[in-house]
Amino acid sequence: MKAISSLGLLALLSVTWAQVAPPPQVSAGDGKDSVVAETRPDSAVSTAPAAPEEAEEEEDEGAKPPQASLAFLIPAEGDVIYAEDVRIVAYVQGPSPSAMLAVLDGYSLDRPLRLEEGMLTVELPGMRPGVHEIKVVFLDERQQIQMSRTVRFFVRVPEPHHKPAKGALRQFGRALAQMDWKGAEAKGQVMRQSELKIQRMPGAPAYDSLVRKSGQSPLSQNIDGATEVSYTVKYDRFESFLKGLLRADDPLFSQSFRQPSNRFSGRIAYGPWLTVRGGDLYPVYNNLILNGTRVRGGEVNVAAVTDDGEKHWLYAKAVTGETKIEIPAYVAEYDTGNGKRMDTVSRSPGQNLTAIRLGAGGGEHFDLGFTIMKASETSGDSIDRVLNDSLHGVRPIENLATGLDLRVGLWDGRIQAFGTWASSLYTRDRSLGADTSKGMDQFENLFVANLTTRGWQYLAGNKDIPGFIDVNSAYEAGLTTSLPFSGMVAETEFRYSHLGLEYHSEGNPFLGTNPGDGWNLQQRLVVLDNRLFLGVEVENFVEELGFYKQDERALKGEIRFLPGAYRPAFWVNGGLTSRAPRGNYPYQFNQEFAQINVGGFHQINLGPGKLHGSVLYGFTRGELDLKSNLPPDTANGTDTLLSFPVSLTHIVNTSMQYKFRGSDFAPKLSYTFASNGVQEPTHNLALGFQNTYFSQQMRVDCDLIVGQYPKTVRENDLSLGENLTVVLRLGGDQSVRLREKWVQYGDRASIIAGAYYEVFF
Amino acid sequence: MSRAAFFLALFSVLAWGKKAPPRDPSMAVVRQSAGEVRSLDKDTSVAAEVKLGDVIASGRTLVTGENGLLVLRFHPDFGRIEARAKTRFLLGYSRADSAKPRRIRLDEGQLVFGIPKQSPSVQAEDTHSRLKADNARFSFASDPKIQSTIVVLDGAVEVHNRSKDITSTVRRGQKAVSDVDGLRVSDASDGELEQVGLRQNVMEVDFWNPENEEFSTLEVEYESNF
Repeated sequence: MKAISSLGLLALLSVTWAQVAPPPQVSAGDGKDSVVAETRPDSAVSTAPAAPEEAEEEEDEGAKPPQASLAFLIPAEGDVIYAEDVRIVAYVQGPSPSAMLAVLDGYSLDRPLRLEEGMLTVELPGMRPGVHEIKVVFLDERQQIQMSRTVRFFVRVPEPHHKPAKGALRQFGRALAQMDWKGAEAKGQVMRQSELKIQRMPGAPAYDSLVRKSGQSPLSQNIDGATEVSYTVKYDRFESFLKGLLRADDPLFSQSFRQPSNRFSGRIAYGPWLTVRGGDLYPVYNNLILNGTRVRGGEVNVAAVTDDGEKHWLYAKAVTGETKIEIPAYVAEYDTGNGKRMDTVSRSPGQNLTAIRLGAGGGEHFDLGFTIMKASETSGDSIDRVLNDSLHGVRPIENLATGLDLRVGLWDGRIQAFGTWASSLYTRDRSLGADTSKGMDQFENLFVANLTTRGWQYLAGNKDIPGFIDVNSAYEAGLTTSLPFSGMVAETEFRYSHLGLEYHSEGNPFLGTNPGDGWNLQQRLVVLDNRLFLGVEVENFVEELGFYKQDERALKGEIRFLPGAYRPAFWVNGGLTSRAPRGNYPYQFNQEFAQINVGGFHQINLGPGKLHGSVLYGFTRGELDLKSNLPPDTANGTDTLLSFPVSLTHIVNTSMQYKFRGSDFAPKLSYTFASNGVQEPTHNLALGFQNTYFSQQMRVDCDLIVGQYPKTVRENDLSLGENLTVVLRLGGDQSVRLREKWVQYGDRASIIAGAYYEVFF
Repeated sequence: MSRAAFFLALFSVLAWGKKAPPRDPSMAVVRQSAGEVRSLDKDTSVAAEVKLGDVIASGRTLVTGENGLLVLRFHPDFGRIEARAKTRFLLGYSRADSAKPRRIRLDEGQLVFGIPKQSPSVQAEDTHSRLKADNARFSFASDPKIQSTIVVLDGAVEVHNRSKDITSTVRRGQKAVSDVDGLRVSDASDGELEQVGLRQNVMEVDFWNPENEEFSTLEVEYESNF
């Protein structure tokens, strides 16, 4: 049965492929079946067979007789037209063509084209909102295409209302509310959470014990909601902004044992010179030091601006606040769907952060900045410290990092040279455990004394430690260019980066984990009027893994060809990555990973509408090879090492969507095949439609899903589901979205239903 | 001598043989029309409705009503003139030579000009003032009984006050008021500068800034180029 269904799906796929495969290159109307409406200059309308092969888009300047040329007056490329009735007007120079035809959105027009006194006019009443493309083709006496011109435009009705600015005071805002109900396996798993405390047993001071305090249940396991309001007021050069976001899972409402999820922020600014912000902030001061960590606190930004706000300025900004609140140790009870699970979670301390950045420049030509940041964790009370010390060692963790960054832009910013350096002067590292070192006295008068930091050990005279700068620093430097040439844009990016063994920043959650040195080179070419994209990337990174080094090399490439509407688009990308140790070790390993993705899409005319199809195939290959350097006959020879099979994965995604002419109704079908080489391959099919109602005020998107999921390694089971989304626009400023999704996996189910409301005021 | 004559003749033949590409004629095309908009013939006795795509001939007077809006775009340089409500002006330009200045006589109302680099100069006038501009964006409002007001969003406009016979250059971000008392130049407010914004080809893009979690809508006004 399974084999039959697989064959059926494959057969369907092959039919799909046959339908979406590009037809032989024939006519401007795309497809032999299309009827080309042809209009002679004397306005006679007739139908003709498909136009002959289109030779060249542009006119031939050879010895041929002079030909007509055409320039669109309305619309020009990219115009937005705020009317349903569109008139195409083009200016025609030169001798009149023998015949003309127009193709709108891939369909031949069945209405006359008027050419009078050098002006070509095409009336297009009742155009639907969205992007449209019209192509005008001139034919010679032999029905050969003499010349063709294409223009794309956008119809937008009704015209958006532009509120005229009155006076210097402006104010606007936005509010949204969202609520989801989650049932079955989609609901929250946390049932109860209880604080864990150390309690001294009466009469027995030497024996402390851990006890659970009274528990707390979440507000609901099924309800998940959020609401947000933001408002901006501007008066002359003053600007103020307020925003508040409330979430149902914030400790304020339900779950005490987590970081806050509510967000509040406010800003007051006077021109480009002074900005004061408070609440939840995400400062970016230096890519390597402070790069998007949330700080709940305040920030001041002062800038000396001498021009238009973009150039020649000095600035200073400082931020201080709390990045994490303290979460006490607790016990959590989870509903696994098949019983209960209890986890003990240790205390996580709170953390405060302060950072300052002084800078000069800005804009595309020059930017120089100096940043210093300190983060420290809160110690908690005495009982907390006892508990914490027993679990982690001495607290708090402190982290002091500083750095410089410089960027210089040349040739109107097309060439950018940049360099960023950061160093952690002082870090108590979690990984080093309790600070029980003796001999701290010699550093007690130094504000950065810490024996656990290797860089300072190096300065203190321990020459076994590698260099201070190398170990405590992270830096990167490089060059990016974007150079326009005739018919081509060339983009290059080269970057060298170093991450020291001891470098650490609490303000950069995105920093790599393994120290080392590496470089990366990317080259991209965009040619043929942005239709063809070619890219290649090469990188090499040597990681320091304590006793040995690991070399990681990668080569990636990409080709994208997007020739325009009604022509098949194609792309392919892939890459090779290898990891291998450097040096001579008891055993060698080599890990190689290769991947390739091939895809394409095409849109053709078919019956009363057009069919859009896409296909994507992805393949990966992973191999891990372990080899011993010892002779095979010794006890630790190759035969004692584990061997891993080569892993291969395949995935095929296909989708089709059919759109009826003059309607928004679009049935759709998608199919996915996935094989990871370990479990049985799975097939998934989704069948659905999109449509609009009530003058496009309501949009409905519905899918029925039939597929397989891995029940065990060797057995798949059936999954069934459906997905419905309804979006309702209320005027120009309000919208309501309702969504519902239900998926059944054998005996298990996942159900989500929600509503979303948004208003601009 | 004979060699020089030969080369001269060869050059003449080559120059004659290589015909210069034909230059597109200049045309004012209606890019957008809303509300009541009329075009009056030279004798101002015949009024015609103005629609999208109409080519407006030189020498015609254009009038917009209470809620009218007219946007003209010049081919092939993409110069633009936007006439706001209750505006009446005379349009003059050379169709054959697109390098000649375009001349506007503003009787009343407000015009907004977008003059790209490749466009010819624009010379506009009303009761109080004469303007000359290249590569600029500015508005020109005229109330013949009181004053004319010029607000410059980009570039520079040379303004001549008729009553005092003085000329001044109004630069980006400035406003000039011209009346019987002379010409006064000052900084324009944000609201006045926003009025100069052309209303075509506006695209709204919603942004979510992950740095500060702020939501903002960017209104992008763009121009197409041939």
